[in-house]
Amino acid sequence: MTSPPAGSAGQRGVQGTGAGPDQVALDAAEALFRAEWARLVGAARLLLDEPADAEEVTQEAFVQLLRHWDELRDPDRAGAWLRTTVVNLSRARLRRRLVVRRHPVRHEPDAEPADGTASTAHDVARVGAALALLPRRQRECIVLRHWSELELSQIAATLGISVGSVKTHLHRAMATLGDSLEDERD
Amino acid sequence: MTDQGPTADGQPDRPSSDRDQRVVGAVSELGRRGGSEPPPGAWDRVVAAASAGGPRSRSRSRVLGAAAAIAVLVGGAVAVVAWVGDDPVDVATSPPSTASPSTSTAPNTTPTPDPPTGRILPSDLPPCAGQPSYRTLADRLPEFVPDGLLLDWAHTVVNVVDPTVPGIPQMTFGLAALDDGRLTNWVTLQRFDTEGFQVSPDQQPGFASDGESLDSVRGRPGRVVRSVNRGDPVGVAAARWVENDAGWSASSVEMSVDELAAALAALELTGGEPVDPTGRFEVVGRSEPARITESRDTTIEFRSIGQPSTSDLPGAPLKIEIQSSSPGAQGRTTGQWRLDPSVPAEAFTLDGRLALRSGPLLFTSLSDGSQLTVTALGEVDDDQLERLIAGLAPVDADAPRLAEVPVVPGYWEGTDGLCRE
Repeated sequence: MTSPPAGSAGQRGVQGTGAGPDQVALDAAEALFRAEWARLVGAARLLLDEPADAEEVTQEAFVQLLRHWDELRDPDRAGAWLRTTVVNLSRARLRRRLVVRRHPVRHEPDAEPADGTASTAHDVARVGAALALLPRRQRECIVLRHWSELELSQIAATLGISVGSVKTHLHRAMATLGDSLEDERD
Repeated sequence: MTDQGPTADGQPDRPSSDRDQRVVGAVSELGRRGGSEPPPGAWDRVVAAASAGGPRSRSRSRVLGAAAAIAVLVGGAVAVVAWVGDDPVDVATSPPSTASPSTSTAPNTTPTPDPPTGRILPSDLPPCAGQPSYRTLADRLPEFVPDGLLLDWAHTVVNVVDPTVPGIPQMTFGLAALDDGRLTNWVTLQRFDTEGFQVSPDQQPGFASDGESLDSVRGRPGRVVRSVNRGDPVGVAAARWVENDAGWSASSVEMSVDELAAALAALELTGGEPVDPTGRFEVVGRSEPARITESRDTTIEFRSIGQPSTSDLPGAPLKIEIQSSSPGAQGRTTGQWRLDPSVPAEAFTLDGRLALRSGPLLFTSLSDGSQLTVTALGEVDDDQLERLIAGLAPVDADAPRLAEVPVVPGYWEGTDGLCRE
């Protein structure tokens, strides 16, 4: 994507608790947007019952980032900030979507895995369905570990829980997801 | 998924079995479906929304909607980010009716509250007309409100379950030993169909090589081992075996291989629910692929007198959740699964039924079988809590006191599926 044209939204100040980022900061934020989009929208997709909400949540996280850019003492932590915000926004959205939560989401398998090697369609469908039914905390741990590829200490910091709890959640979640592969009644 | 090298904890950081690798591969595949590139114009829309000052409405606007549409929607509510240094501890919203709701100091931004009160009362709701799932007036209200609190909002989510959705293939029970009221020695016990069930260690999610293992469970061929997983060097004691035309698995974080084997040996597994005739273990949670046709989930939230609604922020002083479908219904668990294993838990009897408490969470059931979760953050003593739970009475939709209770805490909650039965 090219930079916004002169006079476009990207050239305006951003309103937040402070004056908002200047153009240099906007450029940095846009670079972050390009670099982190796929990873964040993937995490949101795994966290939310309704995959179509993933892009909206990710966009919302960047809107919040711009609004609070001035409050970031360390812009290098913007990526971690975004991750946490995506988790929080997804969590808030799930609370509002109890109706959907009661329906296990069916992750329909693609004809072929995206890279042709990663997983069978069966595995994706099974794990997707089981993931949707995991307790929230287990699900968040799985997504942050195996999609966002965070270390345990980073997951603990993101979720505000102990490393020990992260380990426990991961272990239980992996056991449940693994068990979902064992039932072959399709 | 690429190999990631060792973790900060120095543990091997790669899927430890074929089964783990399949899970991780599937998770990665699902995540990749989010797409690799932002939609055209997405960044401009982000900047436009941020520039507009207020947040977007919680209505079902889509990212792919026009930027202009986002600008129109921003007036509906105001976002709040609770900050600790650089850390967003939570992202939430507050109703626009609060005195100083905006995080924006922009003089050129004038959020337009809609509706003015930001709260939706029962009289605002349209009739429910054949919707399969919706939110409506609360089925229940408490007859007693603890000191210093007031009823903030309440609603019931009604969901007609799609009978074609496949259920969870396994039944799961949570068991724990009662030691002077404290819950210890948690065991997760699962029952599977035998088709595809494996007791082979090769199908387990990683095994330590210390040799601590047994080759029989309850006198039948099976395996009890110390199972470890990536990032979990302690692991769990895990057992798998086949019995009565079902595959069984059990695991415990706290117990050793021998202790788990002994605990399993004592159980009766012939009925619908495991029973420990010695009385040491008790079922404290269950999840099963039961079929239901409708569920009704009621949420009732309180706030401190003089404080604004804090529903979406951590710290609402008291929240009640009631699941009124059959216990253990599809996709639903009862009891232990919401407990943080790092927080001590206790069991006690409340109004003649088993109750679990761990930190701020309390789980029990009501006399009609509904499952009850109470989150109380220290402002309610035990006597008040018991009184509150005992007084959770069904309320008629035309009851005058229900008419004054907002169905959602603020307009930002969204109006999706809100209606009156």
